[in-house]
Amino acid sequence: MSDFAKLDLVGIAEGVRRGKYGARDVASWSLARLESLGKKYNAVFRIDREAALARALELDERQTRGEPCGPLHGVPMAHKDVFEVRGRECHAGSLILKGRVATSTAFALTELDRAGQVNLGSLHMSEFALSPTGFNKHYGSGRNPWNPDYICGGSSSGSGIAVAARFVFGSLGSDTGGSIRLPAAMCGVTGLKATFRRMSAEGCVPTSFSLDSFGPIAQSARDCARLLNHASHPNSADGLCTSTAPDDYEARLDGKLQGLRIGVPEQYFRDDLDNEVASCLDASLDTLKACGASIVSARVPDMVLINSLSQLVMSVEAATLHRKWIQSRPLDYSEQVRNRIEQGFAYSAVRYAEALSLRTKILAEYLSVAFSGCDVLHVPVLPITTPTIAETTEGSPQDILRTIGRITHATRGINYLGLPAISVPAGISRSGLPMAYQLIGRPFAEAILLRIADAFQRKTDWHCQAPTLKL
Amino acid sequence: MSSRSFPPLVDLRATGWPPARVEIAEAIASVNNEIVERAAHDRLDVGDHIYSFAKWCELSGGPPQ
Repeated sequence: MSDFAKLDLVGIAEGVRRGKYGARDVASWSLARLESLGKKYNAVFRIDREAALARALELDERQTRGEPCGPLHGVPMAHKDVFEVRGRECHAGSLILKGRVATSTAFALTELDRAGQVNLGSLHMSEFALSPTGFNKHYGSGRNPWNPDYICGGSSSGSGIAVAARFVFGSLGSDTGGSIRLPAAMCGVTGLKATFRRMSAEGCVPTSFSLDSFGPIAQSARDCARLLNHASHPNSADGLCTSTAPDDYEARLDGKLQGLRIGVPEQYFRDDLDNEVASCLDASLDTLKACGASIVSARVPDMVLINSLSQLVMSVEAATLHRKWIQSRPLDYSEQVRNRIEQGFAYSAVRYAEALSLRTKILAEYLSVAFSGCDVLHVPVLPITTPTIAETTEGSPQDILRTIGRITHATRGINYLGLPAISVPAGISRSGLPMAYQLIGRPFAEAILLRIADAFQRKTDWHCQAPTLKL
Repeated sequence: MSSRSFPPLVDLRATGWPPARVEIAEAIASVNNEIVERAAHDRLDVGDHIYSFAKWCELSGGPPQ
């Protein structure tokens, strides 16, 4: 067996468990792709070849001795460069942290190690997770595997590229305003932003500690479910992490949507939609209806207020984290990232406290209004088809800002609310780039989101389509 | 009400930052400042504060799936 590109995460894990091939065979195959193609698409910051092969060999030997295999036994993965690995450099796409070697491993990665992953390296990301396009002035922009002239989405850019191009079979990302959902949508893979606090932030470089959420990017909802089963264990050493044990997300996938109500918001999310994206969303609703779900209309509270709250909290917290470096090493930041951080200095302490104090009330209102007649909301991930790299980096600053603002129109407010959301592949645009829809759930409703996405993927094959790599 | 009635967290001009950069930061921030200031004025009550976060966490429990 050498064409592992035809398999997904669950398929690889099952093949290794049944002895069809060894963990070392798959790791070698993945490493070769990551080292050659991964670099061409700018998907990767660093590769731990020797450590990965030693780990794969150890897993094969354990299996030979008859020891039990974990659910991720022998699956090659790599993760966004916010997740620390002991002894490995972790710079979060920045110059500021270049050369910083982690002294411990992120809690979520330790849990994936326990389940049997083979961690190959650290993936490309936007500088300090502060660009939704995959732009990185210091290390170059990520290239979309469907067409390298287009943006791949960010900030978990390497995760989207590496899973879509079949370099690895799963990846963890972080999401402060869309950073898992956007690259998943633009690269044609499935990406789940878990509820705030569902996954521990221990050992992760923060962007905004009140908004940062984490989650898996993989080919399918089933793959994401298996990853989340292990990555979302409670961490008693992390004061913010939930103490509630995760559901068995994979066991909940039954393909049945009878009795579930999918709400389509009448306002805001469908404003200013590209025609192609609108058609894609409508087609996905038809499929979900055919799966047994009821499609109902829904109202959502004022998203303009929620977006302002989200932006204020994010920029003040980023300014808090970066103040000493912004003052001492301002030229080590890109202009785009500095502008986003510097906004934080223009808010008063009272305003920031107000923004956080409003959070309880705004969430309660959102739950009672938006979810009064439905179980999940169905909205776009981005309201436009994927733009080119040139459209987001060249031309007038106003046009670029407008394009970037449109990209996060449907994602950024969700982080203030802390809600879980999933990006599901649902079509290919005329320019040959993937399109997707987003489902948003009540807090800790990851199981419902994954169930709906999985039912959709049993009826469609958008998530199975792989790009023809041109570089 | 005006967001200018509060002093900024850091006086960017006093720290020697170029006026153009200060203007960009303030222009973007002023829109959010006014929206959040109005919302806080209209909606915050004495029981609503950052530490009511625990209540938020309770709400987060959601219904059984």
